[in-house]
Amino acid sequence: MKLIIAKPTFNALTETDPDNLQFSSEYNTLKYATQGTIQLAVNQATYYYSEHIDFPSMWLYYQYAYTSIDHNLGYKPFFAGYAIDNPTGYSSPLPYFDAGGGIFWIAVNMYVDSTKLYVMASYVTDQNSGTVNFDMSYRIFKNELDI
Amino acid sequence: MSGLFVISKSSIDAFDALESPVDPNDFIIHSDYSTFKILADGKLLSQTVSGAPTTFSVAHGLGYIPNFFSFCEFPDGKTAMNGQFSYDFTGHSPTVVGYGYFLAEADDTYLRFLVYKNSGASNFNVDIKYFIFEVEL
Repeated sequence: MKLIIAKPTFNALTETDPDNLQFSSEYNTLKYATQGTIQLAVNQATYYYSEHIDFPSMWLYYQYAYTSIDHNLGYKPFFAGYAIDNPTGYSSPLPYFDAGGGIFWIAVNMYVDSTKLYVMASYVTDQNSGTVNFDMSYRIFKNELDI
Repeated sequence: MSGLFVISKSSIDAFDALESPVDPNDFIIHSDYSTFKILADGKLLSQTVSGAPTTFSVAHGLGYIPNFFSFCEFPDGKTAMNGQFSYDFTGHSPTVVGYGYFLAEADDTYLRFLVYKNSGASNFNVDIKYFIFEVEL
């Protein structure tokens, strides 16, 4: 037995193109498990590497930090993430890679395993003090990656 | 003939939720809104990465560039999205820590998955999962 809802002007009894259907029980969909926000604070005094460059003469500090939340699904789920008001002033889907705002390059990434969702920020700056906060929004779906 | 088919979320009365203004977030299914249908999914397991990049291809046979998402599990046990370094990646000269980088791309025939091994890493295996959704790019 099938449940099919066609888009307006299409016949649910005969239409087979999924783009012309609002819903079809023959196709799986993403199913929400949970959503939320995560803040990652980077203490820039704990940079993992530094180097001096000559042109222009300055020190560069390599920053790297991560945090995680529990999802407790017991498997690796389909997920998506977004950087909210990132250091260059915009919001972006993850992974996010950019430069600007006193940052030479920045990568913000998101990962999962069977118990946790992780976020990581890695960037290079001329700053070696203070705290930079990253706000991330995430969506976790019940669909299993099964890898 | 047109009609309306809705399934509201638990604790939400479907009839109440249909009163204006309608919030689609109140519904599990609402026939006025199309669902994001998964046309196909698949996985490539224990694929050996020996270069920068090593490329793995899957023929999708759709004849158009599909809307797709993909994920790659590196040996560190963390699963990355398309366009990400492995979890433990920290890069600077002369030492690069971590396995590498995952990138996926498509044309109207293939999905291609490129996994870059950093210069300091030995060969390693990855697992890749992909989902193809409706509506071509």
